[in-house]
Amino acid sequence: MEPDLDIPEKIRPDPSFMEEVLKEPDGEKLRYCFNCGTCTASCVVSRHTEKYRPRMILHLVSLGAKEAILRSKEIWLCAACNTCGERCPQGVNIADGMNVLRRLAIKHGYVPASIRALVSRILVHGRIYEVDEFVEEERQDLGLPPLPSVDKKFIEKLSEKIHSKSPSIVGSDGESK
Amino acid sequence: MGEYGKREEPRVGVFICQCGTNIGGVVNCEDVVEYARTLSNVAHSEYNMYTCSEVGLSAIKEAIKKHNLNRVVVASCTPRTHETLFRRTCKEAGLNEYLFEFANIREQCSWVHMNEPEKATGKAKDIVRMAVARASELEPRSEVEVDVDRSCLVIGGGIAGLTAASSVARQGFKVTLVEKESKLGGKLKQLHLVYPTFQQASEILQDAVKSVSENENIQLLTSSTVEEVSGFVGSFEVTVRRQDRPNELKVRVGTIIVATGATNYEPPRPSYGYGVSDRVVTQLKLEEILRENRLGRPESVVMVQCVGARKGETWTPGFEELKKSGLVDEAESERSVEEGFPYCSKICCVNAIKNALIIKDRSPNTDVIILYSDIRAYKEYERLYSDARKKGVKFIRYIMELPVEVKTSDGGKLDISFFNTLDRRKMSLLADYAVLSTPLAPSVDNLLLSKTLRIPIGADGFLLEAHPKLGPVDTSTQGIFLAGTAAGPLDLAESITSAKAATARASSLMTPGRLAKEAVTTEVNPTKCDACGLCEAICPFVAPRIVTIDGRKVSQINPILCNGCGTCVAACPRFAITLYHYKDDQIVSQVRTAFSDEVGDRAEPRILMFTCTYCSYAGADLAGVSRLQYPTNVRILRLPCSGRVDPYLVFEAFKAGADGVIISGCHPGDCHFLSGNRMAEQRYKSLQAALDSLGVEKDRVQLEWISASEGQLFAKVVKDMTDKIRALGPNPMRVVKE
Repeated sequence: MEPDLDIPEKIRPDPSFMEEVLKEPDGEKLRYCFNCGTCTASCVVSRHTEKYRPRMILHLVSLGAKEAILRSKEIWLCAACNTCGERCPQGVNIADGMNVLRRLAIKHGYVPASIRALVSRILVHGRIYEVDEFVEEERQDLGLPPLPSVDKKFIEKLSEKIHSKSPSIVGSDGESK
Repeated sequence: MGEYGKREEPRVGVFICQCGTNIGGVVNCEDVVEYARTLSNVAHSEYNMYTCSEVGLSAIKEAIKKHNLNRVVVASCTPRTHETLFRRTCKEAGLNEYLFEFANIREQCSWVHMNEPEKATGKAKDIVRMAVARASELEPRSEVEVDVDRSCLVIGGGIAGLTAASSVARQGFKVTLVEKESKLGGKLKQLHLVYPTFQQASEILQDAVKSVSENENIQLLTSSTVEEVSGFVGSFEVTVRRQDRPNELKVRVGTIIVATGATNYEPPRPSYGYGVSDRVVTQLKLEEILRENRLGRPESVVMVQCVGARKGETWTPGFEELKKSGLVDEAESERSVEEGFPYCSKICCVNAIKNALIIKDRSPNTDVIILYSDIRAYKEYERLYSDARKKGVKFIRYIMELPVEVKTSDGGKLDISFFNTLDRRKMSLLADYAVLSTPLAPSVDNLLLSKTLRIPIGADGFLLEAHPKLGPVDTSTQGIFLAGTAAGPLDLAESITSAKAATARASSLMTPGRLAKEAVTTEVNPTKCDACGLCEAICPFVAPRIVTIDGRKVSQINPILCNGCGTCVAACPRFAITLYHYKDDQIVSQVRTAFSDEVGDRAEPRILMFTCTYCSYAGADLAGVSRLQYPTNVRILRLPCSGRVDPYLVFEAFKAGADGVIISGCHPGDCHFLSGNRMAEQRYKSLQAALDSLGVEKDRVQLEWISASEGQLFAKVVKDMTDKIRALGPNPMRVVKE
């Protein structure tokens, strides 16, 4: 299980992390955040967790608490409903921002087990879950057309790319860094 | 000084103005004219359509000549419109201007009683009667003039002093510039780049010094201080002590501009880590470091705003709740009220942002974080704030009521801990530099300066301006003006502006070279005076002085410095002071004739109101201009200041048949004569005690603060007082005819 976001008490300010985030596509706008908290107040997920606070996450990003952010499970909790982006007074799309952080997390080797599991299943079955005979029969009974078969070649190409670009995202053992 | 001519038999001319239908449509002017003829001392009475027109003015002049009039009463609008005009008309006809009296039967009669023409006509008669009685008591007056030396003393050679000196000198006046340090420039010498242009402070300083050193009209005295100042506006005698010379220098000047600046506050060590490490510095010290390029490329710099400023109150909303919630250590929050000043120094926010931008410019990888409570980036400086944000300067909101601790930490870092309001927790930043933004504080010289120049210090320790709006660079002492940060925190541009304002004010005295005072001034009768010193103590304009004449101590009032409020007149226990044009008998004549005639029930209950010219009387006029309607019961007396109201005038009012008395003046803090209304308040309190012994109910006298903009309040006061007095019934001192 990935650790909860550990909010550090002592922070050594490091602007390089913020710079890294800003360089990512969809990351530039994060500079405008002035920490008003409208995103957290609007966030659907925030209501149901104790630790997921988008404002705090962006705040820690600007201060440079790289390890704490990228290692946490919280950045994976965003439901991408975009309520935050709609209401942000500075026009920042926080949901996109979470995506940026996820990408950076993977780049730095922090991938939640659940993501790994998803990816490995796609590479095996071509889908998030295996479509077996039971499912095929059900579909027939309901009068639904059969599902297209998986393009093995496409899966191979995808596998190659992933292995070369983001090897840490693969692994069915459920191990996270 | 005064004119004690023999009073001739008054021959009063009364001119009723119809003002079209403004007055004529409500008040029956013919009736009033007829009535005026019956009054004693009235030699002539007429009415005109528009008395202020050419026709009207000629009529006055003709009547003066034809009927040999020596007093003129015009009953029309408010004196605040045409008093000067009618006074001039009298002068042109050979009559002293101060023998003219105005009766307000428009703003304070026809316009406010539009639905009661009979009562309004009656009230107009009462007003005219009061004016005629007062006119009969008026005396001719002449204005006093003094010469104003066309020379100026500028104290202080910082940017404000330099700007004032060169601006004054450029107009052809002689300037003596006294600077206590050996070099000119004040704080400007310590600055690096100034906002918003990011010019070098040294460039600006060079230009300013050049314009002073190149001007022949300026006598430059460095390493010198002002020892003593005597005399008054137009002819100050100044003694300057020079550090390197044994003898003092004496110079005579017409005006003085005080540009002595302010100091930079430093927190007491070791608060905020000041003194703990040489990397904990003030913003002023940072200027020096940046100027000498000694900052290098640190990893991070944290700036702390409001250090030693805004102290003493809780500013942060929600702080009380925070304490209750347990997130904040109760003991810590008690500790937080340390030394400092209660005001905001205005310039530190923009200054910090400016320095942050300079650091980011030279070392883009340095993380600059500003801990703030509120960011005050006004005018176009908001742009600097946006620039700073865009360049990656970070802003974190902290609670300034809780201590910010700066300790040294491992790895040579500073551990700066504070309470982060948005995170609602205490946190630390490990940074390389801590820059403390501290306020501009009053110069230590201010106390001595205020005694030497006899100008007051404000509650915050800075030199006090006469009035924030009516006299922003004046002091309560005529001829002495303020420039620069001596009066409070200002940025560079504002200091220059205030210096130019002071220059304009000083020039307004020096250019004509003469100062004429309105003849409403005071004089002490030396035989009655016993030099108790009360007048000297209470006058905010330093006009009375206790002097020795023929071996006897008496008070003497300088008519040039006297502003004519009359507060000393009412204070003098010996009735030794006279305020010309508002003498006791002149006022009493109005009080006694307010209800002396067959007023009938048009003024039941009868209320007399003492108003001050600048606020309450103007408020009454505004009620008129706004056509607010109120009961006809009040008869208004116009005085320079509520401070002129001697309690015995209130007794006179009751003796004369008033059922109620209102004393009204400017709001506390706004008195045109600075402190007259405060004296009025004190007297009102002692008056209340005395009323008891007379058997008069305390409620019959009211003290009200009505400003010139409060027409509605005026109308309300009249209505409420009328109702209240009606409920109380007639004044027990009055003989009620059956």
